[in-house]
Amino acid sequence: MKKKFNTPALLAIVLLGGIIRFYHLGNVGIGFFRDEAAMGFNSWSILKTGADEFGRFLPLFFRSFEVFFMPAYEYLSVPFFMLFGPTEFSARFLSAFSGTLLIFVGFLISKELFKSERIGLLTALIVSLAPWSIFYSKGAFEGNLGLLFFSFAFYLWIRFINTENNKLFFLSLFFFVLSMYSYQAPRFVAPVFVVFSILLSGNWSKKIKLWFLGGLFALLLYLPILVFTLSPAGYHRAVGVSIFSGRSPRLTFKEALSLYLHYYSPGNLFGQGDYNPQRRVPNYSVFYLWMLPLFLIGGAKLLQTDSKTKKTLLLWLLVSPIPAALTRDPFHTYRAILIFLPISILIAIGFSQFIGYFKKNRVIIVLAVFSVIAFSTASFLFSFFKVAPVISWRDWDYGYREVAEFIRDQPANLRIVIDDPNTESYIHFLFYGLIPIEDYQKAASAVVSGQYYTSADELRPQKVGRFEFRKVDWPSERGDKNTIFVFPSNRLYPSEFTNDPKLTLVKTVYSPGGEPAFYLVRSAN
Amino acid sequence: MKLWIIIAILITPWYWSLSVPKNLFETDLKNDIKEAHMTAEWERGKIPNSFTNPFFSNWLGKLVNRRLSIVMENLDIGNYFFSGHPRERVGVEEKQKFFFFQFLLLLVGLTNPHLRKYARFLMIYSLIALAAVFVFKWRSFEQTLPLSIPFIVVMALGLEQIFQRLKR
Repeated sequence: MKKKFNTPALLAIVLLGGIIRFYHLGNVGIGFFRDEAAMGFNSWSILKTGADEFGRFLPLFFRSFEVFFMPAYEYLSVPFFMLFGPTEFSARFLSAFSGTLLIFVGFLISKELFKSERIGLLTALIVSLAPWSIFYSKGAFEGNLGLLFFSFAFYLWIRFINTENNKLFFLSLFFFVLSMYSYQAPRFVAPVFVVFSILLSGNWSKKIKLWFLGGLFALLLYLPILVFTLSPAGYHRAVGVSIFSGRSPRLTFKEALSLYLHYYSPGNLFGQGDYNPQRRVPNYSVFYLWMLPLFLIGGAKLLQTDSKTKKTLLLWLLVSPIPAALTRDPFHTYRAILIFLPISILIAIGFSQFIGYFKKNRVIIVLAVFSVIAFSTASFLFSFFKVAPVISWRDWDYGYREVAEFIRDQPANLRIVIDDPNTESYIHFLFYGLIPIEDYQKAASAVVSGQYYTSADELRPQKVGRFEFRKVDWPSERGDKNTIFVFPSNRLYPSEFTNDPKLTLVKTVYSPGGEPAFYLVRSAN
Repeated sequence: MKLWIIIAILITPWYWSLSVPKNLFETDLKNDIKEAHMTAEWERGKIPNSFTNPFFSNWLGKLVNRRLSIVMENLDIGNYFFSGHPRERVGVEEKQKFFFFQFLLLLVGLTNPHLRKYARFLMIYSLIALAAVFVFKWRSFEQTLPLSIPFIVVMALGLEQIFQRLKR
């Protein structure tokens, strides 16, 4: 590849990736999931009041439902909420931006690892167009930010190994710690990676002072989170989903190994994908099928490569699925998000090898390959924008925006009861501005009081002003006056309200596929 | 090597309780095409109308994807060594095909220097077997038995490697 084309080619790839990630970002058509709403609302709340939904001033973890989110995504999203207001676009901006920057970081890593701009460009291309990267960039996923920080830290780490510049070492540690402030998985992966990378370096005992200072530096940076590690805020997520609860050690080991190997299984990586429909685009896994042979070629080539930094890439590849493997779900692509960049790099190595096989007719081969890439990307985007909303709308909480817009236009004296046994839908009504922030903070802080970090129980108000979020006992409540009941369509049959003269169906919100998503039923005054 | 292959077969539960599959080479392409047509039609009926729909949502794509998903299912390592979990929790039935320790034999076999001798056979056989999976939609415990051959060969190499080490 001629060098003079490399910079424009990289710019074009990053631009293409950016366009794909930001296109229809605020309205991808599939819905707006409660976790996105929670992170988005808390950023907005921090901007407006300096406190989160519980009225907690600048918290270190963001508590929503019974989940404790790491804080970086919320704080770093504040400028985007300042610029664009409380919109879905603002909530997702940071993730899309991280996904776009990751393309460039992927280029830097491969270029540094293999001293080859061709492999760098191919890595950028793979990251730019791979289903996993597009998918996790088009929603508010804090893991995407964590991956960006981790990857940049890795780049600085291998630069440090290659140049022995101590400044890069401390800078790398800074970004590793930032990744730990962004998402749960790097809280395990980053320290394990750093420690083993040092041990594998061969001459680790010669730099004991540097490692000690680095450890101290990282510890100081991480201290605010570390002090909460033994409180529910610090461990609740990990314990809640772990495989260790109430099982024999033998079974647990076997299951953990089985789960771990799932993250390298070609069937999962290139075919079946995530088992949760919320994290899956129909017919696609995290990589395209045509990448499978390139992955195998790339893996074989990497093992033959003789480079100082090869071990670090392998270490990243081997360590990153461990947190996901210790949880119950098979092939959880989000918890294992850190593994997909090293796999993308392997595919890029294989791609480079593949192109290298053809000495003659290279232009024709490259054109044919790029046609396959263009078709598969277009086909993935078709599935993402058109098919996924039809199939996965309920998994993505589709319809709350439409419900909120309707309720906004209704008289302010109406009582609004949302039928929601999980009581988590409140976050949508907060996000869309139906409930004043201060009113909710007042009610929520009274419920959570001093247990913000120390209890993982369900602590949130079920009633704030005229809004109630709870399971509706329809036979006993259908006679309540001056009320709009909001029912997800799978919670109430239309026959339960159609023939009652005291009840009026004031609105049906339809899913992208045309099925009813919500019924809004108003009782008489 | 023959001896190690026989031992590898004998210790494999996949070969123990096997009834001979009767539907190994059966395929109902006509019915599959009909089903693929129906799926594509359903999908197109749900999604907004666009000139791109026929390119990305068509019966041929559905037919190929369905068969490819079966091929990919057979490429899942959990299918062979980790019966019962964790995929059973999400509704995929699995039976014990190999013992867990055979996974370690497989890993040892991959490090055997004689593997190169069998590499071409393993590659060609695997491709043909996967092509058969694609055509005949082999999914069940009995149907997928031909896929065991490459595993058996590599495990035999693993056994050979271990016993050579022990001899030394």
